[in-house]
Amino acid sequence: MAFRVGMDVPIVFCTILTLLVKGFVADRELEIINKKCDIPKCNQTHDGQPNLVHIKGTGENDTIHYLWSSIGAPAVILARTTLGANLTVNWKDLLDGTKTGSLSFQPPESVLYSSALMFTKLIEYNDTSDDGTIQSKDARMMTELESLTWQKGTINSTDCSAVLLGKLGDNGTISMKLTGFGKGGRLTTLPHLQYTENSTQLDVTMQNVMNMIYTNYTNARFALEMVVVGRDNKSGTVNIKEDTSIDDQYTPGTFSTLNVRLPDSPLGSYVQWKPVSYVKKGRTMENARHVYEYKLETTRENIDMPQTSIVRAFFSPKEIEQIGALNVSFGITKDGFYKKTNYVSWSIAIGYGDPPEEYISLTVYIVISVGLGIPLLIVVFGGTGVCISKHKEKKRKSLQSN
Amino acid sequence: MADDGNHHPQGIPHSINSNFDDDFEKSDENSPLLSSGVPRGASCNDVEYRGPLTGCGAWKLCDPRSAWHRYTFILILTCLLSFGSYYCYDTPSALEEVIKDDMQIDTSTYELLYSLYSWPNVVLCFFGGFLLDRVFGIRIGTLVFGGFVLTGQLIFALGALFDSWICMVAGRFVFGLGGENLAVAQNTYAVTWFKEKELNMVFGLQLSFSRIGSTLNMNVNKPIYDSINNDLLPYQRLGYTLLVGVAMCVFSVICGIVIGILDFRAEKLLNRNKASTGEVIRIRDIKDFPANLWLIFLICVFYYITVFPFITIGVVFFSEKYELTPAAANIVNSLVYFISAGASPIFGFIVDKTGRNIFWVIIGTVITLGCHLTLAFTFITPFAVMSVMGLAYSILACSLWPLVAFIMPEHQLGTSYGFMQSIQNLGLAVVSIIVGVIVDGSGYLILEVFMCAMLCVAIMFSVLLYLIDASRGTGLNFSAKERRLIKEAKKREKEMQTSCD
Repeated sequence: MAFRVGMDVPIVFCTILTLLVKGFVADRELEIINKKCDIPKCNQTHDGQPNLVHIKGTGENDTIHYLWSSIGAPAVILARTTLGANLTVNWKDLLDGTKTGSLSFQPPESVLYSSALMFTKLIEYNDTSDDGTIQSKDARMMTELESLTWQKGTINSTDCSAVLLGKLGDNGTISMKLTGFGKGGRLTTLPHLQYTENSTQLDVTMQNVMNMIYTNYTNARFALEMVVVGRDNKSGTVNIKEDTSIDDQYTPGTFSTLNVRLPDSPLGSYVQWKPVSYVKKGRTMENARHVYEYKLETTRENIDMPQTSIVRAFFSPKEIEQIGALNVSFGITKDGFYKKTNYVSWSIAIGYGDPPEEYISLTVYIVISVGLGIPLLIVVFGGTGVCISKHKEKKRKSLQSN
Repeated sequence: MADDGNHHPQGIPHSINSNFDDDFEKSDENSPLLSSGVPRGASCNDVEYRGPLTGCGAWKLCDPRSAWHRYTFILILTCLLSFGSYYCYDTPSALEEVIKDDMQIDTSTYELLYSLYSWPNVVLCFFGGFLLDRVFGIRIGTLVFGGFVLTGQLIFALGALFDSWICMVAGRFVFGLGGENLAVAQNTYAVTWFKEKELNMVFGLQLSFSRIGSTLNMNVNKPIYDSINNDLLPYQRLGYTLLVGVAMCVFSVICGIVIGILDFRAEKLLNRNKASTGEVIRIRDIKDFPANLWLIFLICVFYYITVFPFITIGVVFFSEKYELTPAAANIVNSLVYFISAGASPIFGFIVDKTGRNIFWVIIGTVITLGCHLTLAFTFITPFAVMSVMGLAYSILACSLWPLVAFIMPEHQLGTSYGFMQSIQNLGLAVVSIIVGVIVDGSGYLILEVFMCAMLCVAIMFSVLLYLIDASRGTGLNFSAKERRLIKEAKKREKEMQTSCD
């Protein structure tokens, strides 16, 4: 890693090149709708519309779809299809235990790639030793997220986002906001994750979720279980990799990026995040807390799939060749536990292709060269000048004395 | 007149440069002849008593001119002078959670405990130093400032004991009136007794004691709090814990009294009073402060802001960048303190032996620059980097602070050191804010680049100091050997003058 800087210099040029090339790659035309449920079951009850948000990013050659739903365990399905593909929903089957096939693209061969991410469990654990992490000795309580009641989602078509709100206990909420993007960039809020025209950002916020009645843990912290699934079986299993950089300019105080990849050919998909969460609404560095990730489980037999979720509706069990389950926990030693703010918020990116890499921006190079270069030059040249003049003076003196 | 070769230095040959006046070195002493060259304001007429002393003074231990006396009483006492204030200064941080919980205040209110100390001290030190020179004199001044520290800590503790937050804040303010000024007084004592001898080492040793004080504070306050009877109300427990700090301050004030008595005795016995010039500092003297003093101030500011503001926000950097546990990150972060506590007297001794203070200053700054560059651009273990930075800091601290004593006449020393402390406080206060803004907005990499740029500025000033010193012949960068030769020449000259009178 020590030689990173040297290697990065050509990367700058590469980045500029990529940016230029990217300029020619067409941005995607975005469209966000909540799929309307037209069967009587949905229309009977007040507020009966289930949440099934469809974000469609139409490019020149293909379309990227994100299906975002709280029917069953909250999940995002990512699909890349040919331009003419249509989403078909069999609402009756979908609402009846998310039967396989109730969610599909027509024609079936239009689907070029698909994968999905589910949030399956909320884990409340009593961190008795206050080390931040879940230890086997820590008491814990799991909440299956599919058992939550979810409110009707709110869609904002200007920034192409949808918020789903799950209720927990008396006034606890888990809010999940999915934002789609038509072109690359970064959001203005921390942690400034990179997004592309092929990715979305998901912000998970857990407020007042402590379960006072059943657990009453004094040192309660929270963890989430995520499950990713993919179709391919030839390109390898789901894997996780941590990239560390010397540069934290986009996410101050965070130097690494975690990537869970679902390899495929030619391109797979990824889930990317920085190990940082925020314990107050205002996301600042002061409110930032570390996020620990745990071992990635890729053996299918060891993973509990939720009973219901749109993933089950979209993928048949034998289609799921790749699977990975991972826990992340929020908080670090001596941060006063979850109860201190009763709030934790975390962001991840889900996208098609290779995860974007962090690079040192041109601004940093300019700051470094100006801030360091000029004083260094002055010192070096000044020093040399002084040495030379001293040397000359000595020579003159010795000539004089001779 | 005797004091300054700085104002009109050009025509003065080294051999009679009065910066290396020596009215205080005793001929019968076999301490190392290390002249640091400090004007003491002596002239042909003002001769210190050199004859044998009677009574207790006949003993080496009691003879104010003897190294034994200096090393035993004076050294220990000067070091302990501000021990109480250093112990108490960081108490809020050692008990941060306790204070916040027991007094029921939030973080921004808690931070008042520090800002009410640091901001007033941006100006207070300057006036404190001036008062020390002009009004109180060092002995009374030390007691006055020590008294402020003691009273402040007492009010602070009583505030906790009676659950009055306002009282606590007021206590911190009163404490601040004395705290930094006491350090100025301590520096002045060190110069009075150790100039031309082991001054660099003494400055180093004082530094270690201050570090020991704060380390002790960081480690014992919480255990003391926890060990106090649980039946008491929480704020009462806090109050009793803070009273331990009061005891430390009482101890320091006692040290102040004893050293005052010893200083007074030395003055009487050795006729030192007559040896002084009788000059007093006036405010307008500041505009005549020589350029190299200002350079020293600037080096001091630009160097210190790259060490301490960085340490205050270092834990996150170490734990996130190097993936250390918070405990390990804390250790790395306090390495500079630990290392400098041990290394300062050693480096002080080396600087005494070699002289060439400006080179040492430059070395210290360059090494620190190397450390910051390493932290910024590599993943080399921070344990090593921060240890080296601790060494570099020690080198700088014990070679930079004594420089003031080389330049300034004695009657301006308090003001000069006070000014230096003031500027340093201003720099630290301003830069702490800037550092927060940079880190929040742009992250640690940019912060490190900022630190490196500041160090480059410090290096530039150090080089400039070297050039000015060389061209004006103020002799800050003399080797120990050159200083000794000059001192011997000076002594011979004085003897000749005395005999001609």
